[in-house]
Amino acid sequence: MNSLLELKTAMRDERTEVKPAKRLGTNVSFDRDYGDTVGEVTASNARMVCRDVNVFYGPKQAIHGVNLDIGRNEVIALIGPSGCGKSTFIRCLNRMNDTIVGCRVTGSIQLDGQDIYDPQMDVVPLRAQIGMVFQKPNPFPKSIYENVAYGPRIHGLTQNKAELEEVVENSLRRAGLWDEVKDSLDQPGTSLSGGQQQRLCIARTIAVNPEVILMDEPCSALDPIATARIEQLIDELRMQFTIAIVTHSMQQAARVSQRTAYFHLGKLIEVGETAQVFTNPRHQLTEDYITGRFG
Amino acid sequence: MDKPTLLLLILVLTTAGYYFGRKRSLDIVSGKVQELHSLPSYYGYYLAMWVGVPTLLLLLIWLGFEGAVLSRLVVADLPGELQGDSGERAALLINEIRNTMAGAGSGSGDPSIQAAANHYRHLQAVSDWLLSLGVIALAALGGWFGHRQIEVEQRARNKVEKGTMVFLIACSTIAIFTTVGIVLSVVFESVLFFQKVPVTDFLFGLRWSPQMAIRADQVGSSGAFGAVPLFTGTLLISFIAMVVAVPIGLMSAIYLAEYASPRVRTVAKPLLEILAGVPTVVYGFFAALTVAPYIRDLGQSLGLDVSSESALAAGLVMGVMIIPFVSSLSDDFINAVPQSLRDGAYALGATQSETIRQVIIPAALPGIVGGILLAVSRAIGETMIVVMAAGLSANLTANPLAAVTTVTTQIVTLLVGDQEFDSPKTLAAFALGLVLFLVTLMLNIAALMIVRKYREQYE
Amino acid sequence: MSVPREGHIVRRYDGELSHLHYLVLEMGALALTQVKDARDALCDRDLTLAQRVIAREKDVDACELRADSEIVQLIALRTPVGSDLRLVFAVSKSITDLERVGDEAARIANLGLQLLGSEGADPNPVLLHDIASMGALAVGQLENALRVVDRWDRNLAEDLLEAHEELDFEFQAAFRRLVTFIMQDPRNIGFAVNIVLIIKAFERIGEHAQNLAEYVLYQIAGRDIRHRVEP
Ligand SMILES: Nc1ncnc2c1ncn2[C@@H]1O[C@H](COP(=O)(O)OP(=O)(O)OP(=O)(O)O)[C@@H](O)[C@H]1O
Ligand SMILES: [Mg+2]
Repeated sequence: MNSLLELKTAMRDERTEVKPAKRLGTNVSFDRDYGDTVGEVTASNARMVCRDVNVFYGPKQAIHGVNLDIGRNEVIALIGPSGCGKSTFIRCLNRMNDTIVGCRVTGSIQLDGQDIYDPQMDVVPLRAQIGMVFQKPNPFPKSIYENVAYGPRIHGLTQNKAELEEVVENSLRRAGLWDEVKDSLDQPGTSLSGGQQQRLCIARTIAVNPEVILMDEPCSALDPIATARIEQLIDELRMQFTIAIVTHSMQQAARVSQRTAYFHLGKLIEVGETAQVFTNPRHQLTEDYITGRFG
Repeated sequence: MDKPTLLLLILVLTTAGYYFGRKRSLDIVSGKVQELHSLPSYYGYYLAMWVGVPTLLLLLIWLGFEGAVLSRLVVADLPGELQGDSGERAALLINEIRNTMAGAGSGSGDPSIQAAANHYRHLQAVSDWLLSLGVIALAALGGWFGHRQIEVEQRARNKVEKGTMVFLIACSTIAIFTTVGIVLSVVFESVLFFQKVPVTDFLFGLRWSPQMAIRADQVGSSGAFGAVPLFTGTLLISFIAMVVAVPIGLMSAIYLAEYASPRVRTVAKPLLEILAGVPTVVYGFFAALTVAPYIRDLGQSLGLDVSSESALAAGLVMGVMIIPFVSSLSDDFINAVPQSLRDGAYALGATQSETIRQVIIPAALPGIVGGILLAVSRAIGETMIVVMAAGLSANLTANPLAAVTTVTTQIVTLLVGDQEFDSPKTLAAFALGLVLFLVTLMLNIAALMIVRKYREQYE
Repeated sequence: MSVPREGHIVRRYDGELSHLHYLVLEMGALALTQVKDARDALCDRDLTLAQRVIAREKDVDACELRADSEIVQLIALRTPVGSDLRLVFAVSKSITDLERVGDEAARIANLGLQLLGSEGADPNPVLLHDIASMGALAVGQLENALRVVDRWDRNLAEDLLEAHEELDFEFQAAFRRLVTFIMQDPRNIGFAVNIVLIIKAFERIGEHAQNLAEYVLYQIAGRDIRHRVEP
């Protein structure tokens, strides 16, 4: 019978502790060291650790002091309004921003304890370790087989033709595309449908056996069936890889991810268990965004 | 009124038509523009069309026929002994009369010619008066009619749009008919040539010496019109040019598109394109005076026998000339390869050169091939450099150090100077032109088709 | 805080959510009338009123059906998340509870008919005394709960939850009194059982009212506080 009292004290505590109008909810626990982000930015079994990441496009700052861990065998969803820097952030994770003239990244991003922005770091093997799937399917203008074989080939992952064929078949199988294309491996990759192309791109990415897979809106051009296939695939890949996915579909984020990070104007506003973020977001901005009150 | 004044008058009348049309349309609805079917300016254009088009047409037709009609009238009035019966003589007479009219020194003192000139002058004045009257009458008629047509419900906009379309069609028709005309004239002359020299001799003959004997008993009295040496010469030089232009052009395109910083690019690309703007004559004497001697000296120092005019010199310089064709087009097509493909390759861990070699070039290949084909047709059609640097001797050889000649060069030499237009020598130029035209046409069509196929891939 | 909070980009969504809120209030008002009428029927020995309560039970059920279908539709079309999701969930739970309240009211009316409608002996007025006080408490709590739902008022909800023991105590006391009555005069046993059932029903109504307050708190705070009350 003293629980009611407990409840009341908890609520009062929360009222004093949380800045009004900024944070909702109760028992907010966050580490002051990690800036203003609400929620737990650290992960117990972190594979990638980002600390105080800032990204500049010329004089313009696109990402402001983001701290975030990405855990092993975890799917983390990055959500947020258009232009908030999700793509920019995810492209930092495998140094794809290097290809953009005038883009500068500060702070530290570690993969398994190694700083990937270390000047000694070679981006070629790094990108083999951290694969990326893009918003628009972008198969190379080559045959389906060559598309998948491309990565293993440039990294010399296979000794002979038979091995390469095995890798190709395996990757296509895991991407759930094998049965559809096994008789037409020499057809151009561009002749496939959009959903098939996207799965081909995923097969191409997993063919080099990366440790982390980054996906930037991988389903934005696909129909619900193809989307469901890819979501299923992500769920299966999670056993083996660490996955970060940018998506504009709240439902998709809720379905595929274990953790969700909400970005707003280049800042990481809130991170948390996906279930919590979608039922009980702690930050007003997150709440407004996911419930469609934004703007 | 003379014709320039008349033209000015027509313009003034047309402008007036515009203002009256506009005003009239506004008057009908007493200023309430919304009630009109079209904007007032359309009524203005409409009326201007009614004034301008018929009068201009009349002017054009008049200009077209005036000379002929007047001449005929004057000649018909000449005394019988001057008229003669051949058409040529009449033309000479007219010339004479015109000269006299202009007061030129060559005017003969012949009184009947003098009289004819006066007659001509008189007729000319009458014609001008008639024309002026016609123009003014037509303008008034058109203006009155168009003015009457303007009503609230009148669809002036649609009619003006239609008029614009007709005008544009007329313009493009001119370009098309010109091309057709050129082709037809070449074809007719070629047919004449092939009546004198069998087609097979021309296409498959191995000896080219188009000199025709003036007297029948001269040595080598009949010319030889085997075009094969010319075409092999053309091919040889084009081939050398492509050997120079394709690698250099492609590499510089790759550098510009993939490696160069934006600053370098903005400077280097226009610089490269300037190469295309240098007059070919300049390339020609550069080839003849700088490159050819250099090659000859170099060859001699290596113990080779190099003629002072060589296919190599012409080919090299021509190659330099067409570099921008290859590089500029290839650059555009490499740039057109979507960034997403590059991203895809980089994300797999490909290096920049791997990406370029294995992804970008294959993706841009159709476009690049199209560009190269355009450059080839340019090389084949090129004349000036070859005239100056490769010589005129029609050797059937594959040796780049020998002097060769090309189709275009021969056309030039055949037509330079006084010519009889019925000798095979002159007509051969048309036949060569026809074949050359067909070859470049096919190359162009092939290039266009490849380029179009490429476009479909990414849109 | 006024809930449902407005400001969705799709403005119709705002309307649909506030309509759900309205449905709860409407159904709450109906349930409250039922409870009040059932109590009055007992206190005033008004059998026709009791009959009317029983007849109106199906209106409450219809109200529940309507609300349920609207909730299902809203979930299907809008897939609410965050506070909207909690609102829809709270509304859905509230509807269920209110329907139970309606059931309890009907049961009270039924029991009243049995109690008062039988020929022969009339129950001792002292026995009916507990019904009046329990009824007043239950109606009071339900009224407060509906006020909470109406204004989405957190403090009011907390106060209501704090008062949850009152009805319990009252029920225990009444129960003890009834037991003494039975022991004094075993002939009262028939009436007493009926009356126990009636006050039990009132007690249940009070609990449903508490639930309503809990849902509101859940919606506002995002924390499930049910069952934390029990040790
Ligand atoms: N190459 C670039 N150069 C300059 N500014 C850029 C560049 N790319 C992105 N930005 C800027 O950085 C900010 C973040 O862009 P980003 O593409 O990361 O947004 P996003 O969250 O991925 O948006 P979307 O959901 O629309 O994909 C934007 O304000 C954008 O204008
Ligand atoms: Mg993006």
